[in-house]
Amino acid sequence: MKPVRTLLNTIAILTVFLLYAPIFLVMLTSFFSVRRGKIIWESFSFNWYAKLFSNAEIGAAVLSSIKVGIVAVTATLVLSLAMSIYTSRARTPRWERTTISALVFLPFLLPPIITGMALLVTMKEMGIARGVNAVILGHVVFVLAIGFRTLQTRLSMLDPALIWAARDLGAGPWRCFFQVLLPQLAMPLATSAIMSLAISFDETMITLFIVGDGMTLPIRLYGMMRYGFTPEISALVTLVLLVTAILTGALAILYRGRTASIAE
Amino acid sequence: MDLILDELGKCYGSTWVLKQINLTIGSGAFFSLLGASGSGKTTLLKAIAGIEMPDQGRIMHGGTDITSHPMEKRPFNTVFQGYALFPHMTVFDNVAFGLRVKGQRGGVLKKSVTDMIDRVGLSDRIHAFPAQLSGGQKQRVAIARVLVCEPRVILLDEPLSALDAVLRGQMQRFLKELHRDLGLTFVFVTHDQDEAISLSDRICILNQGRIEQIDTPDALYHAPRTTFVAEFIGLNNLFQMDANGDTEFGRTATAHSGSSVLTIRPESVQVGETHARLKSSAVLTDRRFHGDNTLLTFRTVTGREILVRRPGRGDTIELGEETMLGFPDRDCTVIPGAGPK
Amino acid sequence: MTAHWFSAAIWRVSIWAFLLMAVLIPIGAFLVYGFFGVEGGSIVYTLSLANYIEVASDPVYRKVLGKTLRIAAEVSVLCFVTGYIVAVFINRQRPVLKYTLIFAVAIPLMMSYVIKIYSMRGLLGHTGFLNQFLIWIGLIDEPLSVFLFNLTAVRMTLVFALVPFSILTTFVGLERIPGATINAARDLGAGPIRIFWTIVLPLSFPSAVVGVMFTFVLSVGDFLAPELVGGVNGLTYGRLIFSQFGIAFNWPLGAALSLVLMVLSFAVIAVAGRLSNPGWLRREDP
Repeated sequence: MKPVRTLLNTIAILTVFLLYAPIFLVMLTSFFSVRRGKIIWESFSFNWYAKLFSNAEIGAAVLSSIKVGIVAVTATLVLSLAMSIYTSRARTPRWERTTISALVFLPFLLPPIITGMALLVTMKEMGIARGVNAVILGHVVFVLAIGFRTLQTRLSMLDPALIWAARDLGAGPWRCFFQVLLPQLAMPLATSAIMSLAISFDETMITLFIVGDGMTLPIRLYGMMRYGFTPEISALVTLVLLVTAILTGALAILYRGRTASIAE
Repeated sequence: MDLILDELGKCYGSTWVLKQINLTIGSGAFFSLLGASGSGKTTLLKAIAGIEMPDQGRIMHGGTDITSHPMEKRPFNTVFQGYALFPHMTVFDNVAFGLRVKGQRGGVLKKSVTDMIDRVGLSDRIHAFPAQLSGGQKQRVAIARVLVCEPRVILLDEPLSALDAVLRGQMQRFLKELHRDLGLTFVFVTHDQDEAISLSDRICILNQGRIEQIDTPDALYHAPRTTFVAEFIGLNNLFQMDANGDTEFGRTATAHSGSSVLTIRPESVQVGETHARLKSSAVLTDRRFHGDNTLLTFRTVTGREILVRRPGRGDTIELGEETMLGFPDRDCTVIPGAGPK
Repeated sequence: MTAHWFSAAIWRVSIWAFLLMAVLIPIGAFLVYGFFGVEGGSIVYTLSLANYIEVASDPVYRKVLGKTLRIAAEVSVLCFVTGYIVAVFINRQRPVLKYTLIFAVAIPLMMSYVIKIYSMRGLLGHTGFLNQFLIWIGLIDEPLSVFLFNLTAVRMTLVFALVPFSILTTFVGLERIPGATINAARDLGAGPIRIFWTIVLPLSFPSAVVGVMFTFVLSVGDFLAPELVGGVNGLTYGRLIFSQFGIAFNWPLGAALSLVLMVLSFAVIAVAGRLSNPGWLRREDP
């Protein structure tokens, strides 16, 4: 048993290591010059970043990624809030709940290539131009499942007596919503906002179909890396990862805060 | 300001979970709705609170028909099962919620809220969040939250079911005192008969959505009107009696008409020497010691099990020993018209 | 939630309007598109079965599909096994380390897929780190080109990108097994191997199978990895579909090819849904 266990542990540790190693190597190369596959250690500089920042195309891609992210996430939150509350009401018929859930999860579960293509042909036939607005719609459709699921889970755990108690004490609909329901949903809302933003910021496959000239950052990256492995791309990759890291950190802080309050 | 339920009914789909509920809850009463799970007691409370709309009948309060009033407009407040405290608000904010809805602000609000929290003995936890409170403390907050609104009627939905035995005893005393001091109407839902008997002025026993009997605890115990009540409240011995007054243990002189069921409480059964008309020889088959009394199980010659409660250890008889059991007429209760048991 | 306090009608209509516009119509449009045709660079809106006949009769499509399915299956199995080993390892650690590790595994899921593919290129390429490493330890003298631009590179990239899914889902299943269950089995005399096969594996499988489903559906329809690390030999079904929307410009054929993909995905999702909800997990309806 002992050698088997050691072997399995080694595989496990190696796997976790290999999840990060290639990415760290890429980040490393963004600070150096590379000649014939060898990193020249003396060449440490931020030159590639400087070059990146003077690239107007990259700047435009960053801007449209930010725009897409903010608009898509806001729309996703509003929509998933409305849908999750609607489907968790006792009065909503069962068929409606299951159908809404199925339709929300469908674009998320299908291979992205199908979701992307379905949106592309629809937009073409409806005369919606490809570009930033199309991408926003695409991201909302894709990311909606995250917000919906997170909120629905929280709502299903919520004691219905909480709303009864508020109404029993005389509260009207708006007070019930803003003072009792919404505070209970703060955590899942923040969670879905961060996760949706991260996904929207990285989404490539669906976006590729409907992006037109609206070029988000991952699409620009995709275009650049077809031509090979360069330190400039590595610099851009590092910056994108920085954004991901910030969002992940935010998520971690969010949950640390919660664990602390439970422990207390 | 009596609360009157008139022919109330509620159905889900095709099953009636409440039918023909007629009852009057007097102003200032401590009124309990007692029943097993699925008896409809919680549905009835929800109908009174306005959470569920009845499909039939009326709810009257002080002469006004309030059947169609939404819950926020009813002069009742509810202490929910599991408390339903707002987890993101402190004790103060929870208690202040109802008054803020009514538009109270500033010093007046602060004074009523702190007074109420003081009254339930939680002054030192006023800024704590519900998650930081013990079960008993949460319960007190839930009660304070409704009391501060000065309702005419307080509805309590199994408020003590989540507490352990010791705490439950304390809270029962607390509720009883509160009821005495405030003189409000309490409508109390519970599945615990001891709790209902020791707290209530009147108890309504529900079974499968119907009322079995509404009475004082004493009357329910000593004069049950249905076999369900006779068996549901406390321990009891039931046996059949025909139109002539004949039973398996002899003929009784107790007044009766038609076939009926005779009941006798375990503490009223005589053991050994007996002059009762109804009597039987029996063998002791089980003995359960309860501290201040002992519960004995006998098997009669007719094969029926009879429960007998004796004070103290009740150890004058050995297991397997045969003795006489007597059922004095004055201690037997007749439930007329009850079917064979 | 019995909140009767929203004007339900407006709400209901808006939700359904959105779902109709954003989900139902696109799926419907894509289904119909497969019956259209192309002539002279523009789409012909007459219904015909031509595309489906072509998909069914042309052996090239079948060959590519078969190859893709095999790759997806291999990737899923590899992810499942590796994921299981890692999840068991993580689940055995003490709480602090356990949650740190699971967090570390979850982070790559937040990273861009394109970046992961790019990293694999940096690792596997002619001038990549793998070659450097092998030269450095003296196993080879000259860099090899065999690592990149073939289907093995595609497989490795997919496993690299998708294995966190199976680690996480398996971990969730493992963590839910109460310690008392394992102790009960041990108390009844079961050894570690028996405990694994009769307790741990059956109890964690419903959760782990969800990860397998994700890896399969995502790798079957993927076109980015084949495009970027697959080279000329790396023609997969996803890439075939995508090319209909690029150079080949035959959207209707692309839609028809996709329908096959969709049916396959649904089948996998349905099977996984069944496996992830076995009888002992289902509660009896009262």
